[in-house]
Amino acid sequence: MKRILLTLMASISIIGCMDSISVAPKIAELGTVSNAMQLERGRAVYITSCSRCHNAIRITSITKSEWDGILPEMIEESELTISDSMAVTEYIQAVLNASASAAAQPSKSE
Amino acid sequence: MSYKIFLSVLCALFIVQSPCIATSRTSPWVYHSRTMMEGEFEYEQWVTFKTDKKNDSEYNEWRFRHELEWGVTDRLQLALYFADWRIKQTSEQEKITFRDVALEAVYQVQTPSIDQVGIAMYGEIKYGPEFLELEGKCILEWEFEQVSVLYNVTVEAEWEGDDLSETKGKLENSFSLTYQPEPSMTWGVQAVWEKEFPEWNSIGNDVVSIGPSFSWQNSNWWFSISPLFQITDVDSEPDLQVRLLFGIDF
Repeated sequence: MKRILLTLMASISIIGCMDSISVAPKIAELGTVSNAMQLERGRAVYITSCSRCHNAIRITSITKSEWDGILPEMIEESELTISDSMAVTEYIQAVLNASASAAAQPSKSE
Repeated sequence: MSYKIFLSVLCALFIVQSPCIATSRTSPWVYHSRTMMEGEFEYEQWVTFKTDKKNDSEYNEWRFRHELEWGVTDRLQLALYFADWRIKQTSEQEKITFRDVALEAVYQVQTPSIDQVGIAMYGEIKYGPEFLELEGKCILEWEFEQVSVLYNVTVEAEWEGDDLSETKGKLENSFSLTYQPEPSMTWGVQAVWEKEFPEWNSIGNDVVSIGPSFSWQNSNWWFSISPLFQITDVDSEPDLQVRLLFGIDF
């Protein structure tokens, strides 16, 4: 019995150390943005609405063209309001842009 | 006979179609803190098969539950079990029994997300012929990208018999660790640790069961299945239990 409990507690501890922040980066991690409040709202919608049916997936694990197909479907299934839809769309776009900029930076310095 | 019923239920899963969104449960033995959205309805079918008791080689039991869930608000969910019934075969007899009807309420205190622990409180009352049960549960859920951890602690009080004079308490701790390779699918492992308190004045054996789980959801229905294997050595408890849940959203 003790072994089972210890194994479970160890599993939870290991998982707890995993990087969960970059699944949906906080606005401060996106660099300079002009619409921080709207993006904050978009992030909140992203991490709570997705979790109603499944775990929120890492935004950058999906390409922009794939998001263009998936996002409208998810917005419809989640029954988001127009303003929430706009906020989450802007947030995902901002994360993808920030990721693309970060990827482009090393090549500029070379 | 038992396996034919089980196969029929599995086949039915792949035939049924319905429009709408699925709000799935990834772990048949452990509740999650996610609740339905306001105004949503879901039909849930439970099938549990129990077998392999050391003290009765002929023991086989099928338990069925028919449940309707309703999202009252985005945080409060009510459910009606409009029938819990069983087909039980022992070395002495085989009988079909209607067990109870039940009302369940789940209130989501905190939404699960990568930023915070999901918390929900659960209450249930069951009533049937010569049977009454009250159940309370605290549900915790951690979400780590593709991995989820669930923990439930459950306390039950039962009254049975002609005048409900036989009482029993039960404490249950259940855990689940699931991995989501894609949003529509999870697989994982679950463990249940039960302890009974007959007449509230004695302590029963620890019964621990563990097993894998698999779940699938699409836009209109979902199912999850998990066998549990007893790893303790309690002769009066089944060594194998398989639970299948199947839901359709309206």
